[in-house]
Amino acid sequence: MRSPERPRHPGGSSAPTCVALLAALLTAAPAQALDYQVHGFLAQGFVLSEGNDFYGGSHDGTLNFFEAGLNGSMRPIPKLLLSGQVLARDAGATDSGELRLDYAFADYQAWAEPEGVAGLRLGRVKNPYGLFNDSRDVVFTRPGILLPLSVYFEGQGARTLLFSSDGAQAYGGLTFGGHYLSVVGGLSPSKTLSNDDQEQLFGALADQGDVSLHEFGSLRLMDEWGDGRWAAAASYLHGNLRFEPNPGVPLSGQATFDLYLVSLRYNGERYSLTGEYGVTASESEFNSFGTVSRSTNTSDSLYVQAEYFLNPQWTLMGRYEAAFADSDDRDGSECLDENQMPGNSHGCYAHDLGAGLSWKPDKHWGLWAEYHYIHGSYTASRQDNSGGLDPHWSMLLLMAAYHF
Amino acid sequence: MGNDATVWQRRPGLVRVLALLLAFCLASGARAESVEVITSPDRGDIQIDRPMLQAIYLMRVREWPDGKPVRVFVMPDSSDTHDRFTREKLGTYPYVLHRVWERMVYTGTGLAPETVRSEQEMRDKVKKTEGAVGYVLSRTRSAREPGPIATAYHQEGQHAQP
Repeated sequence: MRSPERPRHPGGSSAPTCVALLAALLTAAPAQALDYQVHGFLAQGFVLSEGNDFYGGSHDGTLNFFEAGLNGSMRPIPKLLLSGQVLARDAGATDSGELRLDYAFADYQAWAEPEGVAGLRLGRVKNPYGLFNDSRDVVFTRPGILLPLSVYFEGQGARTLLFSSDGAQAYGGLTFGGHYLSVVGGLSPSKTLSNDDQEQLFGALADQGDVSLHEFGSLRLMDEWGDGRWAAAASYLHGNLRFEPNPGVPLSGQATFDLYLVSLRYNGERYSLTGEYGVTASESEFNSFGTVSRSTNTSDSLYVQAEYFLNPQWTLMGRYEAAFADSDDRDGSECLDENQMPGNSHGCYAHDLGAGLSWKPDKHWGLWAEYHYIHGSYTASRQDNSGGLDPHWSMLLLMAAYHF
Repeated sequence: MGNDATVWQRRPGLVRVLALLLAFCLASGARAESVEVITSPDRGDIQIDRPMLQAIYLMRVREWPDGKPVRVFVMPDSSDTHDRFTREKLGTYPYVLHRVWERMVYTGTGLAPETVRSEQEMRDKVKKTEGAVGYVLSRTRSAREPGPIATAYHQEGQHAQP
């Protein structure tokens, strides 16, 4: 992952280089050597499933699952870091494989002392949410081929909303008696969602108007202690989605959501333990032909994961996760199907037992194998299973990846 | 063989003393081999305490107190020196550091450290690069490289307790 060479002294004797050097000398004394790095990753996955499809037609095995990205960071002056990443990801009906700008921001670290830092990021920034949201598309930074889907929504169409946002992000950290306390918080201006996102979230309704996102903000507090072996975090995301109908369409609506997530991790010598618990509270209002209906909902989810390091190359992983569409209805008895009728209990919960093995033969390559047995279809993608959902399903996933 | 056996049988005390002496020499030899943090000549005789070293290697700080950029050098994850450095100087494990760096690289929030392949390369690069920090295994205190490479403060006795 580390770049083999990092040019420290602008070399060459061409005229533009000399001019640039002179300019640098005149504007900033002493002149700084430019630090920059380029990194990338490429991952190909395979999914074979029984019961429900995952990332496309996985009943017969699918290769419709890849991730690729290229990023660069440069530090023109010590306090300023400029970073950007382009990303392409294919994951059945939930992601298209098209190239997109994942993040691009300027990070100005205004205060930097041994006891703490504080800075501001402007541009398209990754939303901090839990331990893994900001790097969720890179398998080398995930706790497995799949992130715990219960906590890091995937099938519910919320991906793009949660990932990154255009706006400002402030961050800070403080060393305090063996603890490192850090905070990241961001705000984004209102925006109209892309057609793809609208369709993911609202299906056919998206053709009848525009969906926009307002009041979007995120905050994460983290404490790391014990020389970084322990970490605890609390995350919060807030937003308001509004559906504005095309002229003549007698429908309108809005939904406010608040996401809370607490995280705990312990990094031991031979093993690492991670657990996260999240609550999503939403309040929605829908106006149809003049009739207003309001509803509130609280869903919650959790996972616990253990990793055991057989040696520096081989890692064993075990995970249990659970997700509930309504925290007051754990068995799904009040769960409604697509026709708003009861009787689809398994669509409102999921219990997922997973086990995996990974091998990193060198600093560039990684191979993963993972098996999941799932009871309940709440975390299955509706788009990938338009023919109906099976309450019992299982998946075998394989992934090979290269990064530099 | 017969004579040796006789000596062994007759003078068990002597052999034990010799074995003890040998063990003592080996142990003291190992103790003399310690991980030392080194910095570039422009850092002078800067004192880096453990929290500062952690802040540097976990990439929390990007600049030295005088505003110069910090340039971090490491040995490969598989190196014994790197393993000893992370445990003895930072109180953590190579995989924890590695995960921090990977997260930083793929979230664009920092530059990863530069990996060198040998201790000689470490010494050379740290010596040549402004604002550089690295580490080496020093065989004995007296054999420590004199001159422009400033050896930063290191705390003994705060080894990792997993």
